[in-house]
Amino acid sequence: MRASPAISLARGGVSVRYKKAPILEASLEFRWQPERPLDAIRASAGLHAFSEFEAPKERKLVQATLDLQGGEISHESKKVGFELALKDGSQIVIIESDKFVFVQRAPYDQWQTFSQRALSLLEPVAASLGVSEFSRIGTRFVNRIDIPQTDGANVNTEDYITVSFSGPRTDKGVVHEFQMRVVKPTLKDGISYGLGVATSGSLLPDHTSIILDIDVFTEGPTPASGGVFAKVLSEMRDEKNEIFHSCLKKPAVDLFGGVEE
Amino acid sequence: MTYVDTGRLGYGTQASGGSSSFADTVVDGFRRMLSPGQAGRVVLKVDRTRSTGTDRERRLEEIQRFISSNSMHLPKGFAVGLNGQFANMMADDAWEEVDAYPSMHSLETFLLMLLSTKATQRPGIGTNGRGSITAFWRDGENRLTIDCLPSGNTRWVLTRVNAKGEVERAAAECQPDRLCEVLNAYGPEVWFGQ
Repeated sequence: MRASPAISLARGGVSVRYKKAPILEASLEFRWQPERPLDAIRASAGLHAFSEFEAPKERKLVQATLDLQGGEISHESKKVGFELALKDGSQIVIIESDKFVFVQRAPYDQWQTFSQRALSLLEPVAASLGVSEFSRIGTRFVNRIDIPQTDGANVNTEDYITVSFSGPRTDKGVVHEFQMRVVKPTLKDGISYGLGVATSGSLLPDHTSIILDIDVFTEGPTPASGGVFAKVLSEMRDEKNEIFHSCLKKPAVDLFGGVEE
Repeated sequence: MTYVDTGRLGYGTQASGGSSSFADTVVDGFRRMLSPGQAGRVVLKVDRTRSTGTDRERRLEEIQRFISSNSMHLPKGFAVGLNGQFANMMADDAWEEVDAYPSMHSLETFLLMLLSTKATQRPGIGTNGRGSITAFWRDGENRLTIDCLPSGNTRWVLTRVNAKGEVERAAAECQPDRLCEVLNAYGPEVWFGQ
């Protein structure tokens, strides 16, 4: 397996916005310890900051256990928090006893808009719950690149991405399905990433899709506000961009319809 | 190395807490733990977090997620606009509970129809109560209604005033990728825009 830099866009803090950005979903997650009581979570979901959102829905954790040898099935569920969504479903907020998640569904605009919106919703929640430090911060971008199959020919994914399969055998024919996921530290202290790459079906006729699922996260405590917090977020964003562009070759970028000013 | 075809990946990490289409499938995989239980028993344990809500709310969420995930192929503003229209159509005070929810197959047909016709003007939407999604455009007396069926076909009917001022009517059924060609005789730009 290899992943080497292919093009150099959006580096050094320079931002680009593609006309047809392949981002399906972008999210920012903030975790804290210790867990807060459900009543406090319920109160934070009712804050004025969420007045635009539909009424909160409860979130439940369902745990099911199947004892294969004993032939027994058991399950239990417990309330863990609340989920709020805009009416058009474009933004979702999840507040649970140990985390806050902001999700922006496609179309995605740009990091500044995305992060500012997330932080404007996070700040009153953190204040109401008395959170001054995050135990983990994560940002995850799920991308899907739809690739046309010219004249019905198979798509060679190596033409588009720098991640490829290098298995012990060649055999014959083409790969029908590919999935890979790796988690490792970045060069920046305390920041790691998970990268998922997979082929996928596409809505579009005669297309094959590649999923790039990028999750950049911290592995130590971070202050919940101030300069250090801002720096960590900025570094995470840079890492996310670097990983994304390192995975792509020019024909993939060409599918994004050019760059918007 | 050439890949075709696929299985759907799911996802991995934390971020959307189960709200992602890909997350849902893959997160399940990562949350599933196979472990030896007491006395050598094999225990499969699954943890899953999800929001409560009615079946209608879940279908609406599914529809909005699907439209969002194909927004890059639609004209700017279409996805958000369509998601708002579906939310209005399926709102508590607007939905007849006896009606079947719009099916996901119909939604695929609907999006393929939009892609095929290259419509730059968003249609009005409706449903026939049996799972199909209806798109309609109107410009004065010129009307076009396209039923997007769960079978993958479209069934359309139109009224069009021609250059001589005569009213023409037509109806047919075809695959979405044929729509552009078959509607071309009726000057579809009046509905779809340029």
